Amino acid sequence: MSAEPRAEQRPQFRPVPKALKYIFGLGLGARAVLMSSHLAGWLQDRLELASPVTSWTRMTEGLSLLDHGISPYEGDMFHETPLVLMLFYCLSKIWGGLIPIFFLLVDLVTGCLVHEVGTNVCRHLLEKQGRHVKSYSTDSLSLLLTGKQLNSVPRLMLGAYLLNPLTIASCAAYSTTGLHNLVIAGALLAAVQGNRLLATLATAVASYQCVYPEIFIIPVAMYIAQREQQVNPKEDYVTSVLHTLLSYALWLSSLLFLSFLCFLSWDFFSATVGFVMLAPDLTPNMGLFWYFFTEMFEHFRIFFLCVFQLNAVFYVIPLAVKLRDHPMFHLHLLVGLTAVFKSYPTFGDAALFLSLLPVWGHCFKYMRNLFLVVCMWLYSIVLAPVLWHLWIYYGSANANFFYAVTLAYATAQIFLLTDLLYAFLRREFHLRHGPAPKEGQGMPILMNLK
Amino acid sequence: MAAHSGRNWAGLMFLCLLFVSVAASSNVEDQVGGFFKSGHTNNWAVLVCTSRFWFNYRHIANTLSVYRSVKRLGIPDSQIILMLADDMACNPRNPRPATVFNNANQHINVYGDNVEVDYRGYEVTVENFIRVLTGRLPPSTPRSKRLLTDDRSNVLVYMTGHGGEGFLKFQDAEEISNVELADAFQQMWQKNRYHEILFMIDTCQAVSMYHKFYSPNVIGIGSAQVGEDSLSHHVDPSIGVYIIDRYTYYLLEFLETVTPDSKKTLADLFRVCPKRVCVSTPGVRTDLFTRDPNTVLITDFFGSVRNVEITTETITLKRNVTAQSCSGSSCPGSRRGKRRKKLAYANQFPVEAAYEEEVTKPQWHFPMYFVAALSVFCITVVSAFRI
Repeated sequence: MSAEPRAEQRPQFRPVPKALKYIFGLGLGARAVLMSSHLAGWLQDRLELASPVTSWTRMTEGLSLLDHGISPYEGDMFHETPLVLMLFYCLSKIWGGLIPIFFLLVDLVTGCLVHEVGTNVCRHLLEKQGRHVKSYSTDSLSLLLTGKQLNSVPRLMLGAYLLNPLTIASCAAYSTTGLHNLVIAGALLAAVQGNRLLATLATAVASYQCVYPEIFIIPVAMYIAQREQQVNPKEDYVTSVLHTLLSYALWLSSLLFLSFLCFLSWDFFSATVGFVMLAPDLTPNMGLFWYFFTEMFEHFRIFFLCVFQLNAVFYVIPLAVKLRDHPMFHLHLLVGLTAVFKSYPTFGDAALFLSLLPVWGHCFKYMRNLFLVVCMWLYSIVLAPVLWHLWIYYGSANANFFYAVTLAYATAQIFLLTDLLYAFLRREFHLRHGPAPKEGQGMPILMNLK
Repeated sequence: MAAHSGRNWAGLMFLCLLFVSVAASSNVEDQVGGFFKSGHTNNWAVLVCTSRFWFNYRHIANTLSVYRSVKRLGIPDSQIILMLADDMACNPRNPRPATVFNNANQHINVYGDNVEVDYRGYEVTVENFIRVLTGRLPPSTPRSKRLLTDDRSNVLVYMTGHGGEGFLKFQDAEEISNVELADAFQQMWQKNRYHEILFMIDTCQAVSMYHKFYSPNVIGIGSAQVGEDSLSHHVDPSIGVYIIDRYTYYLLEFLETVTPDSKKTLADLFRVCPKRVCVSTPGVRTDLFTRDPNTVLITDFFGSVRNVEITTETITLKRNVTAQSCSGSSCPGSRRGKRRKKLAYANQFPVEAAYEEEVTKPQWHFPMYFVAALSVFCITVVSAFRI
């Protein structure tokens, strides 16, 4: 059957606990310091960290509206899901000081989840390698993964998440991106553990919370079907996938029904899912939507909206075809893809993908654009607030400057994704054909990703 | 005997005086009755010049000339909305700076010292014009830019510029159509913003602008028929442009003969500028007007004539039931009179009510069914964990 998560809290290749303690201490300490400093108020309004969906200012507005007995979804102000609203309502009613503690806990738990994702994915990679090693070329022994290599991966992932300045700033800004990252990390963990009910529950929670993770269900379904086929080769692939989809639909509908019961109305649906899908708020953010939609004619709006949203979700299909044997990699790529192409992205979304990179560290040697990607990342992260300031406050720049930085940010992420995909596929190729394959005449083959 | 005769004379004198006074008082009653023949109590004027650029000097001169006449006959600046699309007086091409003349002999500077332009330059737009007429202006608009008419106001609307069939060009950038103008007047009617309107237009194909009117109590006078051009009168060689249009030139000639106590009627106004002098044929539309133009004084529209007589006698006013001019509820097709809601001031700052609400309003509580459903969900999740 499926793995029991509680019995396997401690994987075999356990890293040194002291490093973990340092990471936790440093990460949480940095967050606490930033939260209590005077920068916290400034961070709360930063558009790079807080989108109209995740902003804490809007959350407080929603809570105060709730206090006055008005549904927060009646206006255009509040776009978080009702269950999260209920959660914060309880927290704020118990004690106001619980809020920063809650956000610290959220980041802590996300870090732990990312760590567990690391251990589980590494174990899965080793297992898969063990199963497929017969089909690999004999020259590619040096490319094979070893337990020692993967020893430090979970630690690196934890560090990459907790010590990432993007997540530190996001946490200090009380942005609910942290909560989104939590549910996505939970979905990743449940997916890699292979328990159908839990995986579909976690994916349903993630797609309920942030709309785009619905596409995660495809690699999750494929992964679960493959696992079931390994256990029982007579298991039908299609039936398994359908079962997964059915349980996902059931969980999602129960979550939506719960949200309906909060206010006994479906207002929240148009305010959350409708808002993300239709992107009516064109305040500048780190996404790609706002600039296009401010300048296009109204009668083209629907068309371009469809194009943009399709762009955000469509890549799951070709990737599912190409990466049908590697659903975990597919899933991680989708995390990165949704972080770029979603309608209201923030730095925190991209930070989660960055923290997933160490588990694919064995592909790094085939990546070609790392320097460019790192430079563009740094450029966009540093220049985004600068050009915003120049545009809005000094009036010496204009929207194009800021959008250029947004484009650079998106390009950096896209280059990272495509480079990673290329490196992964190239590594697979080399595994099958040796590290330096030659043609018939003995010439080395040039590898290109078409 | 003399004392008796003196007393007799005194009595007779007294009686005579009595008769005379009675006769006189009835005369006063009649006179007072004569005050309410026209039905309006105040006069407004909206004078619009829609053209800009130096070569349209004559349109500015047209409008300013009518402005001068209207002011001379008594309408104060506070009741005139003057819209000039360009400033000829301070145009760098004006060889006589700070002046605008309407005649080559340059006798009258129509731009003078006390010209109050309400909408100047680029403010003269179709939108502003219609907003002025209908009163739908933003709250920050000053009083001098508002047409604060009521249902007893006679409004003179004079427009000049370049026009075509069914439209009038504003500032070389946009047009107002005759349908829009008719609708604007209808809005004014529905809001009881006028008693009677005299609409004069001096453009090419001018009469097309009043063809679509459908509101009551409107007279339209156009300087040219459809298919005809309204021509300018003469060039002032020292200024270098045509400085007045024909129709307005002869209109001014006519208005110069009008004084505040003049008895000239609209019928005389219609005869201004016949074809032999105007080249174009002026047109008139009176089918929407309920009074006979022969009985309507020029000063009902062009002047603001106040009849003030001081008397110490008490005069009983009888309700004027002669429906010679309809206004308000007595007009056919009017909607007033059907709903007589008692008017009161709206409560502007219901502060106390808001405070009361805040204190007594209950906070939001978790609904029971939500809590129940949530617990069911959590139990399901936990059992999923166990499986």
